Amino acid sequence: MILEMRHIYKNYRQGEMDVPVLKDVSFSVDEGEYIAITGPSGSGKTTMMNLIGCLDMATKGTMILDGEDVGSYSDNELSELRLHKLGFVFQNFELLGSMSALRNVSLPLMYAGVSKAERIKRATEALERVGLADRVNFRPNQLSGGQKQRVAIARAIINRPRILLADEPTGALDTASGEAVMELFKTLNDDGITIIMITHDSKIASHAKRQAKMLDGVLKEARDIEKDDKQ
Amino acid sequence: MRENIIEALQEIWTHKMRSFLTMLGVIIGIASIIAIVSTIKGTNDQIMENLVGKGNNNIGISLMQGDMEFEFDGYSGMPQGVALITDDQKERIRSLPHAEDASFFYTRIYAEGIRRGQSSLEGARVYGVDDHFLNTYGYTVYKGRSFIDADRQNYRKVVMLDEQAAEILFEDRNPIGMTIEIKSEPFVVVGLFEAKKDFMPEIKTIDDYEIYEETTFGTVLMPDACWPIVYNFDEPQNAFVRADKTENMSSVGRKAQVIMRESITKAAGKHITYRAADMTEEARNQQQLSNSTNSLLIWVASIALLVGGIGVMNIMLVSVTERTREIGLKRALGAKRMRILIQFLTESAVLTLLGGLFGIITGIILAGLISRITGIPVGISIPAVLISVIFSVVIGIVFGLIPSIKASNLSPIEALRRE
Repeated sequence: MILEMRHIYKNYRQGEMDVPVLKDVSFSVDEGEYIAITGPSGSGKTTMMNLIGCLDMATKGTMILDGEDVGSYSDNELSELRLHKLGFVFQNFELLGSMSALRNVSLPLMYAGVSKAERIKRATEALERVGLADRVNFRPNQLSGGQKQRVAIARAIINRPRILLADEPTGALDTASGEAVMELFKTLNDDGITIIMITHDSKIASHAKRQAKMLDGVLKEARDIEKDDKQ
Repeated sequence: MRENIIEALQEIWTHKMRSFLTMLGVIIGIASIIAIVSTIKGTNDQIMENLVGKGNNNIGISLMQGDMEFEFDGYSGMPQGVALITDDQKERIRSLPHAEDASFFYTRIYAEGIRRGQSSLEGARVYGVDDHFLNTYGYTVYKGRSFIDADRQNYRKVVMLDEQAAEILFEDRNPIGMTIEIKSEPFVVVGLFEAKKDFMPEIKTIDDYEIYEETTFGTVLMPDACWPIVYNFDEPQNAFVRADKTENMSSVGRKAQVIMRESITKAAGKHITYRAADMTEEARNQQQLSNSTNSLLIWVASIALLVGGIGVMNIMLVSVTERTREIGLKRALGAKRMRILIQFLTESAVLTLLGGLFGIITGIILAGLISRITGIPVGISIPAVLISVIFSVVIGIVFGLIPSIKASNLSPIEALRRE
């Protein structure tokens, strides 16, 4: 098991009040899985993503990522985890406009202390892998939305993470580019990368092998929902 | 680190106009400091040069009676407790480190009884000189000849005159080979001497003025061997020592003074002693005066620099707010807090360093303009330039600290959420 969440609670403070966002979420993911978490906005799926991505800490509960209990980790240790075990893909790509595609992709390698020659080599390979070998020196504003997202994906997989986390990866793309990104995810998953994708679009979610649904801070597996419906 | 600097330069270049305006405070501060320091240095160099004389690093060491040069009355020889300067002492002074040459001479300040027929030379200075005198003083013979060994060996009554003395005694006639009287003794004029072209005394103090005034009454040189013919046997000698460099004048003068004081015993009393006329000391006192007035100006310039620093802090805070998403993204990708902190510190330090460099260039130009307008010479002080460079980096780090800490403390999810 690559990710195990047990009885996770997450509250946000809003003035004097503690607002519960996640209520007793238990969730586990095996290596090589491709999971979509769906749900309406405000259901708590982004909070879920932040927790899995080690960007935020749970109020209560245990989370084990690749065998490590992250509950007591310091800020620096969490940074290390994000650097080596997690890759992020965002809705708005989040590329740095002043840098070429190559430098955007090699940013995590710089944080990992990889030498410049090695960085260029690996970043070029990653861009080839997402089909952008001919766009290496382009800046984000010279690329289409689909191409930007593929640069972001190359950046997410550059450090060979255990989990690729995608938050509405097709949200800012037209249908064709969105399909191309889904195609790429499938290829990456076939190569063995675990993917957790968050989306409100059920059509996009259907590309995943397993689905879970978030509703008012409670997570339910799609197969359980079907069972409930039958009963 | 190199990566950080390159990234910082790119960031500064992306916002050229804003970066320049931010730098402006630092530029103005550093520029005014460089301009002031250069002007101070120029003024000081000029004081040193005026008082000490460029390339003519002479120190006179005279027997003093209190604050006055020792005056001989008509008959007395050595004052009590003062012995003659021996050849050994003279050699030791000439071989002092940084001493180029030294001359020992007898002298009368307001000599009387120098005449030729009806014309007389009142208030002239007479020297009984050794053969180091012309060289040490920086005099050259422009007509006739200098003293030779035979003059001394044979006690020949010969003299050399400067231009003033020659003019007063001979007007337009050629004095060479003519006879003058000194205290009724006949002397033959063998040569005329003048200051070397590169020696131009500049008058900055009353003392200088008096010395210069004296020389305008005329100077008469005779071989020291002849001195007792007109004056006394066994008179104390004064000295003139030339140092190799201006900065060595004081130390050479002091060492020579110590050697000469060996000739003075307690019997001479407290107020008779040899003293070096230390022009460098005098110059330093004057410099101190100009330094203290200008250090006030430096404080004012420092306030400009402080304001510049606050400007940098302000813009860095804006920059952190503007780039919140970038910071959030970098944190999500695995950048540690420290890396974000260093990134912003580097940016701020590079910004102020550039400001400092522009400031130095502007300051040098400004100093040049000041020099053009006021005529004060300008000396670019290398230490001031180096300190400015270091100081501008320090400003960047100090004033960049708060924005950088703010950036590094941003929570990644907060940062990514913000638009």
